[in-house]
Amino acid sequence: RLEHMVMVMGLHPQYLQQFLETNDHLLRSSGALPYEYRSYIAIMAAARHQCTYLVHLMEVQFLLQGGDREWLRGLDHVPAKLRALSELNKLLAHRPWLVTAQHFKNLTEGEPSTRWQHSHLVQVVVLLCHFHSIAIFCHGAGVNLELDHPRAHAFHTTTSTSPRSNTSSGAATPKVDAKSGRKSPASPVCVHTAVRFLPCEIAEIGDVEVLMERMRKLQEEEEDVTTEERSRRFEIEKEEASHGLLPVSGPVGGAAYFARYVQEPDFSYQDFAKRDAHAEIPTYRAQDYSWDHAFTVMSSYYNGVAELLDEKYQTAYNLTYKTLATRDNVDTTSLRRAIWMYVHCMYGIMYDDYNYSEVNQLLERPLKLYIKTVSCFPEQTTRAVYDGFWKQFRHSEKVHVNIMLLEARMQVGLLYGLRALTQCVR
Amino acid sequence: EPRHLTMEQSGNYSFSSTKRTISVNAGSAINALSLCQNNNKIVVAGRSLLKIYEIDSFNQIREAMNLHVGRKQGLNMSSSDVVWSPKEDNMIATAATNGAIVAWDLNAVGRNKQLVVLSDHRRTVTKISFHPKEPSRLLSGSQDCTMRMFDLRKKECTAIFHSKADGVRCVEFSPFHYFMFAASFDNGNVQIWDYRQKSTYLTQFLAHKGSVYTLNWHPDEEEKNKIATGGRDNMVKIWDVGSSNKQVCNIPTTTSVSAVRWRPTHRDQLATVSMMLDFSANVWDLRRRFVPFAYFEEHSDVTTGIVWKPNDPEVLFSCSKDGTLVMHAMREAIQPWLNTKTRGLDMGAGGRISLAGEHRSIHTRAQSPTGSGLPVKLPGIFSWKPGNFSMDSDWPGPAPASPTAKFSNSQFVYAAKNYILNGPEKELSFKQLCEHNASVMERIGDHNVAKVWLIIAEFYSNKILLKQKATHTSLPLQRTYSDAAPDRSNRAESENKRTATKSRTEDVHGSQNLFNGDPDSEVQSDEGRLIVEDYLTDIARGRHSEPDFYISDEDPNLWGYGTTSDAEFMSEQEWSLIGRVPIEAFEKKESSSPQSPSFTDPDSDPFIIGKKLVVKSSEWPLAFDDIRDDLTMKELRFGCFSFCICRYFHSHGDIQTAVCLLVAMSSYPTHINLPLDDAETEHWFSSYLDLLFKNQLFVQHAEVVKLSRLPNIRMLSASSTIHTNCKACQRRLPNTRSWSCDRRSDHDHHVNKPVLCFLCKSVVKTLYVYCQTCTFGGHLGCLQAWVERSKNRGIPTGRCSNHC
Repeated sequence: RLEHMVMVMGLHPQYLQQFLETNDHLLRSSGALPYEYRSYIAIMAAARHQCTYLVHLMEVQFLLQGGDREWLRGLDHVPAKLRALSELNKLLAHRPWLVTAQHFKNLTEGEPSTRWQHSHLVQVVVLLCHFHSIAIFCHGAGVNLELDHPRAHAFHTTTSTSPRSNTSSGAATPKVDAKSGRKSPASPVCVHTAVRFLPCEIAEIGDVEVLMERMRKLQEEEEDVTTEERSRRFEIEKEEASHGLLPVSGPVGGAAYFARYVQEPDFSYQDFAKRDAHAEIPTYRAQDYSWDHAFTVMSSYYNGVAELLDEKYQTAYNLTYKTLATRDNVDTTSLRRAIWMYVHCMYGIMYDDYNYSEVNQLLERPLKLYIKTVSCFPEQTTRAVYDGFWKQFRHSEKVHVNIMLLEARMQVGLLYGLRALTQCVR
Repeated sequence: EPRHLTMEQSGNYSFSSTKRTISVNAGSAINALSLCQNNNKIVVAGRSLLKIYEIDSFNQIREAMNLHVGRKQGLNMSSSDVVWSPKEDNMIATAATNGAIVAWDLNAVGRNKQLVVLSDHRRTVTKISFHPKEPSRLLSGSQDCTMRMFDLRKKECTAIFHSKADGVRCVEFSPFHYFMFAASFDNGNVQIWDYRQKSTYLTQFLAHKGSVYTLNWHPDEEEKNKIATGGRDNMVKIWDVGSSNKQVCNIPTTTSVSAVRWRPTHRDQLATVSMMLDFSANVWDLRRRFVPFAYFEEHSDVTTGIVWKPNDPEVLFSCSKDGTLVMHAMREAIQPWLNTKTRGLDMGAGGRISLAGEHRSIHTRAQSPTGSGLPVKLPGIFSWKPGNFSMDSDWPGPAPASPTAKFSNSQFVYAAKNYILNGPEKELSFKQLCEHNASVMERIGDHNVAKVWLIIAEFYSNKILLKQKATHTSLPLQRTYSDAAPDRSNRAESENKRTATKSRTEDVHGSQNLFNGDPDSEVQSDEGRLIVEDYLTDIARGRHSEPDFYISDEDPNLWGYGTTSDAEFMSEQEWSLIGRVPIEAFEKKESSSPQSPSFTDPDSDPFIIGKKLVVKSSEWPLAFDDIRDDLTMKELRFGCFSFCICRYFHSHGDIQTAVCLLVAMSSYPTHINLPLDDAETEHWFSSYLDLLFKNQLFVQHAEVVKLSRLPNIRMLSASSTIHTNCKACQRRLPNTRSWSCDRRSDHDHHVNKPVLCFLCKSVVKTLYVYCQTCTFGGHLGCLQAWVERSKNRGIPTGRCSNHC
C-alpha cells in the first residue's frame, strides 16, 4: 500500500522518484547515524510542525527499525545526546536565521557521551530540514492520515463535508482514542481531500489571462530598475509579508501530543522583518553562501546525499509542464521563480539579482496567503486557504506549488544550518 | 580624498626582510582580484570593496586607490569579479552580483571614475574577461545562461551568445587564438566559441559532474590548446581542445575547485583554490597528481581568487573572504612532497626488479594482479630485497615519480609454451628433456638459463631415469671427477693462483671470522649455515658453479666459446676460465657495492654467499678431503646445488626457471629429495601459476599443477573449472547449455546475439569458419558441404571481393 503522501506527490512522478530516492537514502542507507536515531530525529522534526500524519508514520518506522518503545514516551526518555538536538530543531523549524555557530559548538563540546561529530551534525541538519519540509508538504496538500492510524477512521466518518482533514484530526485530543476504534464505512482510497474535489470553478479565466499578461510583460521589460530600488523592494516585500498576511485561524489544539517530542512548543515563526532588533541579524545574501557552498560542505561530510539533494532540488526548481491552468505552452519560469523567491524572502534570504517587484506582480494575494501560511505556520493551513488561491487551476498544479514550497523551505533550512556549521568547523 | 591608510591598517603589513610573504588587510571580504599589465598594481573587489594596491620596488604592498567611496553605492558595487584590462593601464571592469557590469576609467577626473554601467544581464554576472589584444572588447558570462560581448567604446552590448545549456560559471578569451573563447556551465559542460559566429559554439564537451566553476587557458603558446577546468566534483581536469576534446590529465583534490590558474613558465604546474572548507591555495604538478606540489596556508577563510605574477612565477597573489590580500613567495610554500616517502619500482625485461627509495631497507611486495581465481591459493607474493643493484642506494635525486610498468613477458610466454616439462610422457630421457629446454632458451637468447639446463642434465642424467630402476652405487658422474684427477696438478696450480689473488680481497672483507666460528661476526640462520657449507663442498669439488653463473651474469660473452654441452666442458673449459675471470668479477662487484650492509646478510642473496666462500678458499682443502668419499654428502650436494640454483633464480625474479627445473625433475618416477622447504616451493609454484594464469596459458597451468608433487598445488587441479561468460551480457553461462545464455530473450541480446550458422541456422558451438571481410560463415561442415554443392551446380560462392 502506498502512503498517502506518496500518492499525492505521485501527481508529479518525475519529482516523486527523486524524492523517494532521497528519502530512502536518508533513512535506510549506510551512514554514521543509527537507524533508530534517524527515525527519532524525523519524529522530532515532524512534531515541531505538529504533523500528526508524519509523526505517526515515523513512529511506526522507528519501531520497525528496532527502536525502544520507551523513547516514544517523550524527550525525557531518550538519550541526552538526542535531547540536545531539540534546540536546533526548534530554530531550524521556525526561525532558522537564529541558528549560529555557537549552537553547533555546544553540540560538539561537552560530555563525550553527548558529544556530536561534525559529520553527524551535517546528517542531522539534513534530516531535520528534510522532515520539516515534508511536514510542510503534508500540511499544505492536506494529506490524510493513513488508514492504520487510530484516528484515521473516526476522521473519515466526519470529514466528507468538513473543511480540512488534518486540522480537524489535529484538533482531536489524544484523549478520544477510545472513540477512534469505531468502524468507519469502507472509504475509498481517499488520499487527498483536495484531489477528490474536481476543479469546478472555471469561471474566472480572466485571472489566468492577467497573470500571463504580466509574465509576458516581465519577459519583455527592459530592466532599468536601480539597485537601490531593488533592495528597497525586497524590504517592501519583506514588510508586506509580515504585516499583510496574518494567518486566519488561531492556535490549534492537539499540541499536547507533540509536546512530548519538542521543547518550547509555543515557539513559532516570527516575521523576519520583525526579528529582534538587538540581535542585529543581517539579511542573508544568497551569493555569500550559496547552494554551491552548502553542496560542497555536504559532499565532504555526508557522502552521497549532496548529489541526491541537488538533483531533487534541480528537478523541483525546473519542473514544468509548460501549462498554466487551461493554457498550454506557457513559460512559467518567472512564476516559479517568484514563488521560490517569496519563500526565501520571508526567511530573510536575499538574491542580489532578483527584482522583488515581480513577486507582487505575479503572486496574487490569496496565493501569498497560502504560501505564507504553509511555509511559516504549516499547522494552521486550512481548506479555505487552500481553496482560496488559483481558483481555476488544477490540483496537480497546486501540488506543484506545494513541492516548490517544500524544496524552497528545505533549502532555507539547509543554507542557514550548514552556514552556521561551516562557521563552527572553521 | 583621504587615503584610507590608518595606523591600524599599516599594522597589518608584515615587514620582514627574511620572509617575503606579505599580507594586507583590505577591510572586508574580497571576492576577486586582478593584476594590471605592468604587474605592479593589483585590484581587489568584494561586496563592499573596490581597492587598488600598488606593489613597490621593495615588494611591499600599499593601498593606492579606493574606488568604493561616498555614500552607499548599491548593488552595482557588489562585485563578484574584477578584471584589469591587459592592454590599457587605466581600465578595469567589475561584474556585480545583480547583473551589472561596471567599467572604470582610472584616469577620469573627479571622484566618480565609473566609465559606464552595463545592465544587460538579468542575473548575477559570474565572470568577465577582457580580450587579450583589443582593450575595449569585454566578455561576460552570467547566471541567465547567456554570454555577452561589450564594446567599451560604444558602451553597449555588441553580441549575445546563448549557451543553450545552463548558468555560465566562467568565460575566458584564449590568449593565442584571436577569436576564440571558452565558457563553462553549471551543468558540467565546457563550450568553445568563435565570437564571429554568434549562433552556436564550435565544440562542446562534458567536463565535470556538476558545475564547472573555473577554467583557464594555458599561458604557454606551445600548449595553446590546453585548458584546465575545475568543478564541483573535486577534480581539476586538463583538456586538449585542439582537434578532439580529449582529457589529458586530471588531478583529484579534496573539495570543490573554485579557481584554477596555470603557473607561468612552469608548463606542468597550476594553482587551485577550493570553494569551501579548505582555505589554502594549492599548487599542483601534473606529474605528481596526488600530493600538492606546494601550498600556502596564510588565509583564515575561503580563498576566493588567485593570480600568478606573469613575469615572476615565484609569486602568487591570493585574496580571501577574511579580507586579506596576500603575496605568496613560492620558496616559502609548504611543500608536502619533501616529507613524503617516495618509491620507484620498475621491472626490467630480464625479470629484474629495481626499487628506488631513500633507504635500502625498503622491501617490496609483488602480487599477481589477477590471481588465479581458485579458492585454495597462496597469495602470489614474492619479495626482493634492494641491494642487489647498487644503483638503488646511490640514486641521486628523488625517486622517479611513477614507475613505468612495462614488463615484457614475451620471453616468458614463449618459454612457457615450448618447455617440455613432462619427460616420461614424451618418452624423453631427462638429458634429452634438458637439452630441448636449453635449446628453447638458446632461441630466446638467454644463454645463462640454457646453460643451467645443460648442467642440471649433466648432474642428474644418471640419477633421473625414465623408469624406476635407479642405482645408487656407481655414478658415472663421480667418475668424471676421478677422471679429472690427472688434471689435479693443473688444478692445484690454479688453486694457488687463486688463493694468491684472493688473499687480497679476503683481507678487505675480513670475513675469515666466519670460518673461525666467531659467533659475533655473523648472525645467521641454520639454513644460511647449511648453504655456506654446501657451497664449500661444491667449491671443494671444484664445481665453481656459482662463480660461473656469476661470471655469466656479468658478462654473457664469456660463454660464447663455451657452449659445448658435454662433460668436457665442465672439466676443461671451466678450469681454463677460473684463473682469470673471478678476479675481475670480484673487483667489479666490490667497487659497485662497497661496504654494503647486505653483505653480512646471508639470506639476501645466495650468490653473495657463494662469493664470500670463494674468498675463503684458503681453507677448503680440509673440507675437500672430508667430504670427498662421502656418498650421501654427494647426493646432498647435488640437491643443494639445484636448490641454490632455484634460490638464485628466484631471488632474481626468474620464477619460471626455478619452477620448471623442479617440475621437470619431479616429472620422472625416480624421486630426488631436494632440501627444499615445502612452504617456500609452494610459494614459488603459486607465483608461477599466477603468472601463467595471467597470461592465459591455461594448458601450461594445468600441466604444472598436474606434475607438481606438492599436495597443496595438486589440490588446485580439483577445482580448475573455468567458467565461460556470455559474449553479449557478460553473465556466466549455465553449466547445462554452455553455449546459450539464460537471458538470450532479452532485448540487448538481439544486438549481440550468438553466432548462427548460415546454413543450418543453429548456434555454432564449436568451430566457426567465417570470411574476415563479410563475416559470413558457419559450421565447418556446413560450409564445406555448401562449397562442394555450389561447385557441383556451378553457383559462384564469392559473396564479397574475397571470394569466401
